[in-house]
Amino acid sequence: MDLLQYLTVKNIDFLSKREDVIPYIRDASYFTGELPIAVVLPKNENEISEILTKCYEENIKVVARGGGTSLTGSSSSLKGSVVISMLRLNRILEFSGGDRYVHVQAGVRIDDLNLYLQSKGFLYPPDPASSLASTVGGTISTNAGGLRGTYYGSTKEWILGLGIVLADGRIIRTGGKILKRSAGYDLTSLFVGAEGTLGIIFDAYLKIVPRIENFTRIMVFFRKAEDMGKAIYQIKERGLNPLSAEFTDKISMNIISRISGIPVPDGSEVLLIIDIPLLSGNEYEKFIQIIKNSNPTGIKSLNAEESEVVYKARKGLYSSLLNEREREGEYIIIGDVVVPSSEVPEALNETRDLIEKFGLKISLFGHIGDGNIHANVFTNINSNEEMKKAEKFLEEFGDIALRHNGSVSAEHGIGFEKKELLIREFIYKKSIVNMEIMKSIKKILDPKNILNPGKVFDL
Amino acid sequence: MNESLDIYVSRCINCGFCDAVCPTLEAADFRGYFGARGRVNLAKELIKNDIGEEEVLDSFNSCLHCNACLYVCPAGISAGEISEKLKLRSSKKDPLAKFIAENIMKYRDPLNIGKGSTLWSKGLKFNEQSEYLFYTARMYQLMPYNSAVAKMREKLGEGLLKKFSPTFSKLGFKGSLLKIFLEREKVEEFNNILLNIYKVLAESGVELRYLGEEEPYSGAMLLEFGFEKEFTSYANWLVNFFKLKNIKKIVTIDPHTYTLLKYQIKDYVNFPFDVIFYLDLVNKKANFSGTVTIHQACHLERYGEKYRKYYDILSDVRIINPTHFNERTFCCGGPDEVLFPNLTNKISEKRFIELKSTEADYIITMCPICYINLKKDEKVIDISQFIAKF
Repeated sequence: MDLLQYLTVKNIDFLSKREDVIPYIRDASYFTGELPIAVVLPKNENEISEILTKCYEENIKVVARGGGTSLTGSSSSLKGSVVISMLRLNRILEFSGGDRYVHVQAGVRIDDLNLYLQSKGFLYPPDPASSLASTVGGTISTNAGGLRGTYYGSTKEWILGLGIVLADGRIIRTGGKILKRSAGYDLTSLFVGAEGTLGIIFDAYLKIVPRIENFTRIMVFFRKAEDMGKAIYQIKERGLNPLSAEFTDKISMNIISRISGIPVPDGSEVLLIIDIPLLSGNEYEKFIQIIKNSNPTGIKSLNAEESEVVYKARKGLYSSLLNEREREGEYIIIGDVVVPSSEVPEALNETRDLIEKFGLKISLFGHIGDGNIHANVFTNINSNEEMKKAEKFLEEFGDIALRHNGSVSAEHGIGFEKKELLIREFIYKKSIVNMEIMKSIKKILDPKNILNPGKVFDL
Repeated sequence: MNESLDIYVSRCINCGFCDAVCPTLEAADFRGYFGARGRVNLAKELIKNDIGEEEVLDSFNSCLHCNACLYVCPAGISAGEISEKLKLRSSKKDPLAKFIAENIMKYRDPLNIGKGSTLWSKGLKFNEQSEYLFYTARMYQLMPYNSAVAKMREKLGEGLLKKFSPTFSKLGFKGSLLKIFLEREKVEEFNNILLNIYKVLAESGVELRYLGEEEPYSGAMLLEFGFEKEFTSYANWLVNFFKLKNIKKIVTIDPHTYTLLKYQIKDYVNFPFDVIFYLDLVNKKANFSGTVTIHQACHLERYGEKYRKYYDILSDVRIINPTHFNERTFCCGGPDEVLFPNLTNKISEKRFIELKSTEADYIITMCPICYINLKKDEKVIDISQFIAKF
């Protein structure tokens, strides 16, 4: 019995016509996948298990797909594969404010989850820019970050337990509704950031926190990125935690100024937007004192209306940059690296020199509170020459992060795009054995290499 | 769209934000073909001639044109606009859509409802000299008849309905089976809304001119179903008709006609008339001590300007917002009622539950399509009924 006959017999919904599978070949990266043999729309983990049992038997590749928002190609389809769309698993199963968890299916979108939690006064902190479309399962699989990362950390900090279907169809559970656990290997962590290469996550216990409603947002302008980097480091050194700390270069700063109507002080090259939590009374003064001593060209404290406009402008910066595209075929490839806060000033200086060296149109912004820098490279994806140049830039951008004790991927995962960079990182850290360990784990959990093969690394 | 379709489509970065807000995706049990991102990806293939028109027709036809996708798209693209352009370009048409288009061209009415369009106005006073043309475009009147088509589809099944469509077209609504499915109570209900609209305008001191049986339909469904040539011809006819009648100001009473005449029609013909939405002429403030929630029409929120005059009228009333409101308002599913009633039912059910969960005393609508799809209990009220009552 072939796969499609099997799915029919098992009464599992699937799509196999060309027009039905085309919508699943691309994700938000610049990679175009190849046509899968079918897209399966399971309603529960038992159906996923049946699909994987058959695919394992028949050596059929499987690509799990949530919101399809990967920027590195993690969810783009593979030739002859089965794509498992997780969107029908979209129920919030259980909520407990007292136990501080929410149990959700993998296909729940992050914004939908937070809309639900907001009505209960709680928050699930990870907030990637794609939160409108990205799903719980997808963001766990790429260990997504976001604007709130500086205060709350990235997704891995918030996963208490997972339900997973393994490559051969077996269903396992890791962790659970408990906030701490010290029983054996931490299998939950193993699947965080695995990009669907080790198993398929079908539900998750997520840690939640009460929302911090009382905070103030300020904009700080600087002449030098270095001054901004130092300000952030000193804020953190003094034991203060911004709820978020976002920086932009001049291109993006001007966009935010244009949208918000807030003028840029003369001589400013860099913008920092900080959310200061007002928890015990005098945080605001402490933050401002440090900032004032960091050579700003201007400080603007925002009222509620301005605050909202500036937040939207920042969250929509990528969109605004897309509208700055001038040529047909032009795309923005987002570089995504991270360095320790203390190394941000020097890393930014070196990145500026690198941009000059390559002569590419690039805008920088990022979650500077946790050292995450995004380089938005304007590239014609139809031009081999431009693509090579962009890839070379991103390689050297990754090197800057490595020289400053950072990583080549902060929150976008590896996918197709960063496989070489990952090897580079292990070599740089004189720990290429990490790759061998990862491959060994893969071979144990997916001996036939059917789960998202060719993503993260090549076997 | 100020550029060629292929360039417009190529700006898509495939982020999937549009899918997250597309009402038809979830209603189609997450079959990507019926989602906004699916439509854009299929458009990419169609433009390259890598797929046939017939295979993708339902994907584009099922688009509600609610523009929710445009509001969230980082690249400023509307899957709705892409669907519309491709429908216009396509030579393949749905048989039922053909039936409706033929009726519009022949009778100036999608279902040839004849005198059914003027029953509401019996005994009312109009002023032939008034500068304001009261233009119903037969929209409120058509709703019970649309429901009859949907009911007949349910009884006959998809195949038979499409098979008999050409016969219906020849016989018109009255002579065909369709009239068996018409609910008289619904006709009265919609006539009553029209009466209320007339009343609130009269109470605001506005005198109106009405064309009675001569009043033509706007032509909106020609565009919606992809009959571009026919729409262009119809729009030209409409302009000449209004000119012959010496019309200067057109008071529209439903969002679809309002945005069609104010914005969309200008891509096809010079439309030299002032187009007004009737709430602009209402100078009354509602006086109600309870609570309301508002189902904002997609066409008023996401086409052209954000039309929100109703907030002034309701400024003394406590409004409880549903989860999706203002720019994020959620479609009632109505535009799919004729061709994809199953999608409409699921979408309207979802929206109704959301509105109902506000526990407001009334759920206010301001569009006949929204009203008929959301009228699932007595709390649902057209804004004209609410203003007249309070």
